[in-house]
Amino acid sequence: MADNFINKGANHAMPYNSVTYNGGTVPTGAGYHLVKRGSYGSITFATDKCIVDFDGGCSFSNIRITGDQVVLNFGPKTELSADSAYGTLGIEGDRNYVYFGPKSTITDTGSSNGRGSPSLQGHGIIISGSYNTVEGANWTVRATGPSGALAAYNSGGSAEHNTFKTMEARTVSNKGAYAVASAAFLSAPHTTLYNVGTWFGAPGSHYMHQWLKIGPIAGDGSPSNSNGNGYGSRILYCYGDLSGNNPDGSASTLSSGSSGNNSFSVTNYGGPQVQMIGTYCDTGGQNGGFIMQSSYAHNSNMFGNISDSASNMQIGTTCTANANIIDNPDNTNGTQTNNVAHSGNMTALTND
Amino acid sequence: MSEGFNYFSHQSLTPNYISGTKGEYENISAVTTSAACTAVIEASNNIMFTGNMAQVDWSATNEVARKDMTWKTGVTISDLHYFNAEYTTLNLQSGVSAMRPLLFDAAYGSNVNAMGGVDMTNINFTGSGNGTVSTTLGDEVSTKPYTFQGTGYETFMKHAGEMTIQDANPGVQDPAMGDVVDGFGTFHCGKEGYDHMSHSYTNHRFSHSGSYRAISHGGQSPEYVDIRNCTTKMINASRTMSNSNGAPASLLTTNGSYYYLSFLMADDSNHPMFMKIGGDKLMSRNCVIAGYTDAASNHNEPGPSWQNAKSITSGFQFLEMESSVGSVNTNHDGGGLGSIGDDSLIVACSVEVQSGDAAGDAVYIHSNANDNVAYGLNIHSNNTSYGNVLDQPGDGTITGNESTT
Amino acid sequence: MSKINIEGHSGLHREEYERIVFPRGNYAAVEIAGDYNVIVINAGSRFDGKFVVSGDYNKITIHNDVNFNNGILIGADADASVGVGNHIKCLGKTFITRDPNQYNDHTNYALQINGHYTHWEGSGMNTKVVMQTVASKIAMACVIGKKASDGASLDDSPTQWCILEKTQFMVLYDGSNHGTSKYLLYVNGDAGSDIACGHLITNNWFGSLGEYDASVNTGQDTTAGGGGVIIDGATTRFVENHVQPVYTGGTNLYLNGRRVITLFNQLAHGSSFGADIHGDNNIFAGNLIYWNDGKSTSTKPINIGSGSDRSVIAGNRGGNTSSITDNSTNSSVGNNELGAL
Repeated sequence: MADNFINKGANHAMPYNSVTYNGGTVPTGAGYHLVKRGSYGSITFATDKCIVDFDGGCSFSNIRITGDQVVLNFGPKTELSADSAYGTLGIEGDRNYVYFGPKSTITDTGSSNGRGSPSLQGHGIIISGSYNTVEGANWTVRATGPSGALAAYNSGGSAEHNTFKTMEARTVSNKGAYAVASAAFLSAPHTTLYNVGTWFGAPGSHYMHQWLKIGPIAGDGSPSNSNGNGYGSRILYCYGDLSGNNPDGSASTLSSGSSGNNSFSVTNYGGPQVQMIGTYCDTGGQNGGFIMQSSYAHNSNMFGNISDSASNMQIGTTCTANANIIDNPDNTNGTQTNNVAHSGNMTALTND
Repeated sequence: MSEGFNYFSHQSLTPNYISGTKGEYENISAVTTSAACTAVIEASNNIMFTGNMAQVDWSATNEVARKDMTWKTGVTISDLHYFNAEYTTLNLQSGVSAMRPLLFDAAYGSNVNAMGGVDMTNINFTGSGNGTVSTTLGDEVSTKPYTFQGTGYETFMKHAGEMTIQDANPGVQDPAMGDVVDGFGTFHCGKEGYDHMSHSYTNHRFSHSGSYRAISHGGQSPEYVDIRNCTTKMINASRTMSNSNGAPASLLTTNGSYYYLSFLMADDSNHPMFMKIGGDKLMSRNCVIAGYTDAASNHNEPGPSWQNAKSITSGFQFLEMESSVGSVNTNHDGGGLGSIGDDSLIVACSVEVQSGDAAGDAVYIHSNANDNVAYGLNIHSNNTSYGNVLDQPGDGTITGNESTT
Repeated sequence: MSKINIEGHSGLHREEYERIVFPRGNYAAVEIAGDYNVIVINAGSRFDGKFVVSGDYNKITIHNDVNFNNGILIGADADASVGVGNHIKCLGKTFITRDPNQYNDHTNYALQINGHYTHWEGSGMNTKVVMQTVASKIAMACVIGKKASDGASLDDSPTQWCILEKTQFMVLYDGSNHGTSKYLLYVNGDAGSDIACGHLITNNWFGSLGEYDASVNTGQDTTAGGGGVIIDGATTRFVENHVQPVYTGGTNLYLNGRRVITLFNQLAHGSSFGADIHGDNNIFAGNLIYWNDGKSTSTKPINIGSGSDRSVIAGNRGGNTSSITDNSTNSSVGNNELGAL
């Protein structure tokens, strides 16, 4: 029965170990805490099992999680903005869960990594531990970084089983380094991107090397622990659109640093056994395509994806591509079944 | 009754900054015994429990449905917990150590939400088999499902140790089974013969202590169960139930139909198979087997994991984990993914088995599985004979697959 | 039991950046008009008036055993820029319905989602959105982007970028009249078929999941015009759902948007086609479609309309008949396992 609470006299005690208001210090010890709207600077969560609920409107510079089993439950309109050696949100521990409420932003204001110079810095959200999940409320949550918005990477090769869900991933105009900048890096084994979207090409004089990259995090070297390795990673139901149909409502131009090196592709340079399923990519007439042909991308599996792009699909001899709609296949490698090659004849959408 | 103000905003008088934090939980309680816990949950709703509990019967005095409770971070339990009230919601915060069986005995319509890095070892959902599908408009229309959801791979359902074999005679149970060391099953839904915790024998674990009711649906599997977002692990596949030589699977064990699995991962597990399902209409999405530990030579080889009729397995990854480039972790000699019922699909899956042998095939369409679809599979193995789709009936659509070494 | 009004008003909240708790109780009409709030609805609450979220970017958590007896509107009836970006998450048993005695004379919804970027996250099969038929009226369990006032779509500015997941939707026959038409889910309107809407609709259940029953006196059905699930919004991903009404008077899944990706769904029963595909550049793969039209030996499980160009229909299991109707152009239709189950 539904009872009127007032007559049921409850204990109604405070569930939190602490409550922090603007001007206070965010608690980082074990326990269950509440942080009210305010501006809190740089925070490192080093103690395991620290659970924090945040109200809407909290702002920070950078946040590091070096402990394990931490839960950060951010409210709406949370803002992180920093130029940090650890990434703006850097998760180095294991088994942590971070949720961002609607209209939150995580913005790295630093510089892109240079080609061949892998580093945690330059990324909006970077995970170097294992078994971590970062989840956004919806596509009004935006991660931004000059190297990349999202990344999973550990120089020792020990990061694995990390997941990014439901947010926009965005690079920065005039900051992306040659052969580096991507919206997301799957540079650690078993990284999952689920319902991640990008609709910004970072127009300007620098570079955007691809939309989503599997493999080395800074450049086109061979996969390794120190460079990055995306074994077993997955791209599931992601959404990329530079055309006028995207959520921004207007077409976005790719970077123009060097026409051959700017692309809105999904490229596998170093991730065997990768899956890409149900992903949509419209390059707005610019370079793109699905490219999983590297010898390090063996046994990739593409199923049920759509590419509206003038760029071909390239797969390797051990790969599988079934039930995709693509511009054209570049080769007959591997197993390719029931793919429709639209040859540029995709039926237009409004605003195409 | 008062018509007065009962709206708890944390805004007292000023628009932005508030005082006070009361409102979400009707009660915060540190009680730990069955009697005290059930008294608290009966008296109100949305309760936070903070104490370290031993064995608790959550219906010790009365079965009260539609309750909501949260176990606060830091809570540990030292013995199993029993729920039989319908529509119970149990929320577990990260840092809770609930490494004992959580037994839901015909507690239809219950939800378990694990938020973050919770540690569990076993959840049993039992039921009467065919769920009632009510079509009368009201808030109990249609199914009364069980649901478990973690938030991702940070949520653990992992055994800390292997079960000790006790007396092998039928009817003799191991009263110590189900503690943190002797883990048995992960998501375990009453499959007869394999389910010690909710077994039909009267001398099973829960009533061994004598002061609690017998399990009402021992060995029976519910229908309409949804399990998602969790990492599981078993320790030793060769350990079996005392009285049947049965053993559960690492992702799910059940005899029921209408099961939905999403983003479950058995990581570095040692299991006899990764799922044991007796019923039809399994929908398995994006589950992962990442590495199989076979460190001890006496562990049993895994057998095939079968889906039955009208099932769909999609986005499955059955991989040996490559923790660094070129460094394959362990071996899973047999026991791939299989279909043993009609009209089922295995689609968009990736399999890597580096030690396949005649003990098992990577993907196995059994002779009983007519009119199946195996499509869009990528298989990488040591042998393209074992590392392929074994198509026994020959009447399905088996195409679009790649098998390489 | 008397109703409780919030703060003595009509239940209108304009707060921003607040943490708001609705304690357990019976509520009349409530409207969340403010932005950026963290809102908790406590276990055991009942909303006997309409629950409206017209503010933006709120996070709303609904605890166990909450009933919304007169529907939920996220957004405004006619404008998709109102009520944007809200995330509503259910933890346990949640029930959303409408009082049939309070239906308008035109189109009625239990869950009406009109704000862009809405994320509706049910708790699983325990979150149920249910309507009942009423003579001469339209009933839809859930809609994304249509008006209740006249049933029209939001036309040139349909609702976009939403996530609808982990929820069960049903429309029940009231025993005497099927109503004008009814749907389990209707995504946008006719004008949305070439407007990129980008919804993700996943891990839902449509229908009561019972076994097939041709007797329309029991279970649910969608006869008298209508169907099960209608997808008109382009670039929608409809994946990993289970559509199983006990009896469907129409098509189970009607796909009319362009570039829609439909994967890994189970579509059971149905009185007409199990799946009816009309949009261009659709992918329909890895689905199980069976026993449409009472195990008919003539009704095809899949119909592909002549308007579908450069689409893929492959890797499906379809029955009861051994063929499908394919009027598409430049498409890849093949490697489907067809025939009686």
